[in-house]
Amino acid sequence: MNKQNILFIGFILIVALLLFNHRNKLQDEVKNSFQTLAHVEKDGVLLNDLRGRWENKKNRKKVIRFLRNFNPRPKVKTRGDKTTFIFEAMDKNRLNKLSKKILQSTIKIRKFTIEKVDKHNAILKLEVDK
Amino acid sequence: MKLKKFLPKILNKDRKVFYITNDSNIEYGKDRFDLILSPTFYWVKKEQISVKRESDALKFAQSIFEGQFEDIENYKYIAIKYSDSEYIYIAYNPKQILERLKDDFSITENMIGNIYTAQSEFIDIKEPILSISTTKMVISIDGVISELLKHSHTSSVDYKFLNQTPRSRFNLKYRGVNGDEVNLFIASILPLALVIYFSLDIMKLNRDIQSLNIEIEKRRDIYKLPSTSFQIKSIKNRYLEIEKKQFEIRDSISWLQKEKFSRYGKLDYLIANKKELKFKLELKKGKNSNKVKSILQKRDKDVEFNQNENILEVTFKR
Repeated sequence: MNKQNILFIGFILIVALLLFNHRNKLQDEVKNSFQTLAHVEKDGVLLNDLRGRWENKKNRKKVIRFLRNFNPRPKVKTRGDKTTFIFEAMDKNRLNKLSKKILQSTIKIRKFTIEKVDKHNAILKLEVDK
Repeated sequence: MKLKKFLPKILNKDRKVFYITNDSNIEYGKDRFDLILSPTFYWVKKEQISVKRESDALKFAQSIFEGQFEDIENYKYIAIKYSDSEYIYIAYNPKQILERLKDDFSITENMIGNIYTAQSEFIDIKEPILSISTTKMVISIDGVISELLKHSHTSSVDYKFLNQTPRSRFNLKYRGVNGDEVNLFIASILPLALVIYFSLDIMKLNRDIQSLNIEIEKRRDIYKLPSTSFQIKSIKNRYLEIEKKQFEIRDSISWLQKEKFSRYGKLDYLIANKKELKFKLELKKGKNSNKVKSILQKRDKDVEFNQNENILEVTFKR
């Protein structure tokens, strides 16, 4: 084989090597893209779930409506970024019913207080994010 | 057959032709040229064979030259019909010819168009003597062409004769005898295949990357995610923190309801927020406060107590 042919084959081999190197880089890039896609999907599902739980305006409105309409009607105070519901003269059954509803909801509780008034009644104060 | 005879005349029309003998000094340009080899490059025999066609006569060629050379398997043959039953046989070793052309005249395979023999090209000359170079002449004796030294260097040279007469169809078959072209083809198959394979793979990978990036952007839009992973992480942590705190508040109140501390006393107040769970228990008379404390410590060892007679204030720090 003459010198020209050797040079020609050498050149093709170098091109093949460069392409091989480039291909490996692209393969890594594809691998990374797949990983990114999996992460985006995972984070997306998680964030969707968390947002749905803690920033669901529809659910929040529903709970607030329930609290406002509860019998006995609460005093509602809104100050800054918080709203306080004060339920007075709550007997044991009502207290249980209301606490159960609050605990099952996804409303953001800041402070939950129960104060005994007398043998049969208590005051429930609930401070939530506005 | 007619076409086969006619084609060389058309193809060789513009190509220069040189006569090559021992002392030839050729000035060749960039274009390919044809060569006519002097009789020193090949063997000639004239034989009587009773066959009609040259192709049939060619079948006898090897046996005619048997014993003439050791490496007979490297030789190729031409049979030229001279008369009805007479054939002129030419035996040549293409590898040897190419080596000699390269070594003695610096002529490589890629410079040559066709190679002919003086025998095939001058067989029909009318003159018995043809001055072919400054020192050599060819003569035709009974159809066999031989080369002789000239007696006088002053004789004119019939260069025109070479370029004006058309070439015969008896060109030598020399391509690929060195194995260069074949070897080059074989040697370049693998790297070329690799280049093609990698190129196709690269195209496919580029398409994959593009479609993956589109898919990633699509998912980001669907889930309303920010573009950087740092931002995603920060939002995720914020929500997880909210979830943790809200779970702690709810869990502590539920736990308190489940444990039924009313068996041990009355609850005066209860405060549950992000920082602590605090409540005051008025213990019943005769009840052992240690039992209550052990229940509370089961939940958290670091629980704080503040007891004044039967009043027990409890604080769980978060």
